[in-house]
Amino acid sequence: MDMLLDSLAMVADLRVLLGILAGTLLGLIMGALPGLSAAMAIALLIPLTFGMGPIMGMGMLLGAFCGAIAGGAIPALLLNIPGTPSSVCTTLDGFPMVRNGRAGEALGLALASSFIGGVIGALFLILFAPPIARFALAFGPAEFFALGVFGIVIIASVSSGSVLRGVAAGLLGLGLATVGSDPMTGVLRFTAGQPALITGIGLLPALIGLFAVSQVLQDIAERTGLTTPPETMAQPRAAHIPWRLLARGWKVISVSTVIGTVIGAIPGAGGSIASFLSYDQARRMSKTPEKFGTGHPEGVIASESANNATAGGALIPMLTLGVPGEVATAVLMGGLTIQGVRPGPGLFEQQATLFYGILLAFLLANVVMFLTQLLGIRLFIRILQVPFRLLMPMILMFCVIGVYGVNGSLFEVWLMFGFGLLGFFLNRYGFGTAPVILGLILGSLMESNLRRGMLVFNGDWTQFLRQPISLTLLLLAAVFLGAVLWQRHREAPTPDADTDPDALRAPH
Amino acid sequence: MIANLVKAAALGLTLAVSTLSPAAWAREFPAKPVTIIVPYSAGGGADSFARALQRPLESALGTDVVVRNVAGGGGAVGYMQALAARPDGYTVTVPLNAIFTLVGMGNVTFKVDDFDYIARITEEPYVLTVTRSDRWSDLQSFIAASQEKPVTLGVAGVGSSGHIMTIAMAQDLGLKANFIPYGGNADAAAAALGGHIDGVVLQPSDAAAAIEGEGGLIPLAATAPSALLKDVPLFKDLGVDLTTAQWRGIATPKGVDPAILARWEDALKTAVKDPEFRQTMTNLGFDLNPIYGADLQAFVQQAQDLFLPLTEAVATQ
Repeated sequence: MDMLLDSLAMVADLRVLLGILAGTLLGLIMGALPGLSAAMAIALLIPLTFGMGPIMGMGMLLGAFCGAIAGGAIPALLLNIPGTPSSVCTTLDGFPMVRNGRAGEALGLALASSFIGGVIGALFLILFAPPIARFALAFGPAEFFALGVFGIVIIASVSSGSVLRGVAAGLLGLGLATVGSDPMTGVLRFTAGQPALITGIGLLPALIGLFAVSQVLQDIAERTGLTTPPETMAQPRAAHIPWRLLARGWKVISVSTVIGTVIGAIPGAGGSIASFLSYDQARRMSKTPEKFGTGHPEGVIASESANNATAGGALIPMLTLGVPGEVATAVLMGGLTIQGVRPGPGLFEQQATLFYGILLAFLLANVVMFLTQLLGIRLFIRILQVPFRLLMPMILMFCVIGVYGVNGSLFEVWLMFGFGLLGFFLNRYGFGTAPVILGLILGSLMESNLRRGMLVFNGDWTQFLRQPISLTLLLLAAVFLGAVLWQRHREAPTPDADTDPDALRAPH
Repeated sequence: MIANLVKAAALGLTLAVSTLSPAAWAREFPAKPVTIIVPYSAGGGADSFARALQRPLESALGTDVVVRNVAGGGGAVGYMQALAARPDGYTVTVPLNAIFTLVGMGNVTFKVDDFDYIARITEEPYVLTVTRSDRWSDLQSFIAASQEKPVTLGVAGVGSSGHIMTIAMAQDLGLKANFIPYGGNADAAAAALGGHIDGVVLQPSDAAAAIEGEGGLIPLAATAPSALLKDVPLFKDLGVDLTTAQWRGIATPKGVDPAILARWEDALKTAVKDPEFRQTMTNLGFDLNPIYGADLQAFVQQAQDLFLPLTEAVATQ
């Protein structure tokens, strides 16, 4: 108890609060600008923390972390452009909501879900860090591979129209994931002598191209009469938090935050997988799954509560084991180490006050994020009033800055434009872009873990089925796939077809 | 119209610059900000090193120092971009063992001596850490256990310097091992902590956290002493000649005026004395061990002789 009070005293310092506020604001802005990610917001702030104490510096970095993930929802909702990879799923229902004139509600919903997800994730971190960390460590090659297979089944849920076209787009993503040096032998594949491709196609240029640049191209096509524009956007009402909708979504929130925290804690899985899994789960639990993708509030709730819960989850292995969960926490850990604080089992034992101080600062960062956004959403919604002929060039400019800024590579900027063109045609012919991103993320996860597993298990593939976690995930994937196929089958106009359920079960 | 103006201005500038003699160039160095190209993304060891060096270097050189992250290709993109810059001393990069392994893997077009190495500033040993098991407790029993059943050693990336060092260790120790590539140090450390592999070669900053706690890894031996790993035996003391360490320093594309190189060396010698820089290096687990000139050339040659043949063997597998 004394320790908690000491920690509270450390955090309740005006300078620490100012640090958190400054970090959160910068994070929000960077998260909201397409191309600038949470990891980059933190990296930019690290040199500023050199002269600060650990709590103030850490508060600022954690603020940037929370702010960036929450900020990613704003362009995802208003412009159909995810600000960070974690908000891809937010676009699926968020943008249709905005098109239906519910921009105010959508922003409020995303904000409140982000806050709830973030706080619950933080509470999980404070209360259950050790068992979650142990579970996360249980993920070996077999478990990661099974998680990837499980994720592939989600393509059926995130496909906007035809499942077949969604699968085709997913396969395209899986194919693109093979570019780069072979994860097991180092042999270069499809790199065409381009050094920037040695480590594979970057997620960022792909994401920004497929979502942001394609959106700009679409707009140009609509304006020049190449395609017919959709019905004019309805006038949005003022931004507010729709508490009623939120209360009705409590089941979605609880499942999504658990998924977000646990997936966030598994090193190497990451926020985008968590939000895809939660979105899929929300759809599966829903009594009206057909509403997803058309502007269903539960889609926004699931994605946003999950991706903010991953922040707390990702801090679990970093703080308790010294193993960062993904890129942003890796940068965060670098920032802490520079301060002379070494995350790991020893941090809690030797510097418990500091440990709790960091947790409290993280909790506080979520509150600050909520309050600043509460004021902010009234402003953000005005983005919709900016004439498109001004908005689109600005979006394009931020895309180029964002992609160039990360690696300083002009090649990746061209890659982004290439993906923009690809995304434009994928959208135009109803394939959708979300399955491509999912395939790109899961492709490398599945390939490297399948092959790593074959090395570790000495070529014995049955080991993939013998581990309890991986077997569970594979069976669930088979059951879900069977359910999707069964449902499609029943909806099909041939009611007298053979209905042998075994024929529909997926092989594993 | 504007494009033409820019062209004219650029032409004028080129003319003005070309009339200066090389000696005048060196005397006036640095006349504009210098750029450190970090070939890895922000937040990594090389990035932290460059950013900590930034401020003391600015006061030593008397100009602004810009740190640019040019990541990709495991360092290949950044090094190639640094080499594409004019050898005028205004663009430098952070050399590590990755230069040798990139060259050895044959994925890049440059050679080790395309750089002028100005300084090695920090060193970090490689540490062999293993999971807790009743089959081994020290280096001897680990080697013995590997004879009965080959052990699995995780490595961070194919052809990374950690991978090559792991192979070198296995060769010199007579370990029977299967090498399991992972995406990075953190992934490999997590896999060892989770018991999915038997061991992993880490650097002190990663190892320090991984060996803490009840389920932590056991550090068997290190290639050099580290302030973070006080009680860990050295390979040298166990009778095995493994002393190579990871290093970080400053290098430029080859062909820089010797007077400018000397100016750089002086500035770095001043910068590394900065107390805040020293403290940051200690926090990061880097040992300050600066060498310059002939010592450095010998060091680069020795490291190259170790890494190149081993990496080439991996590449041709």
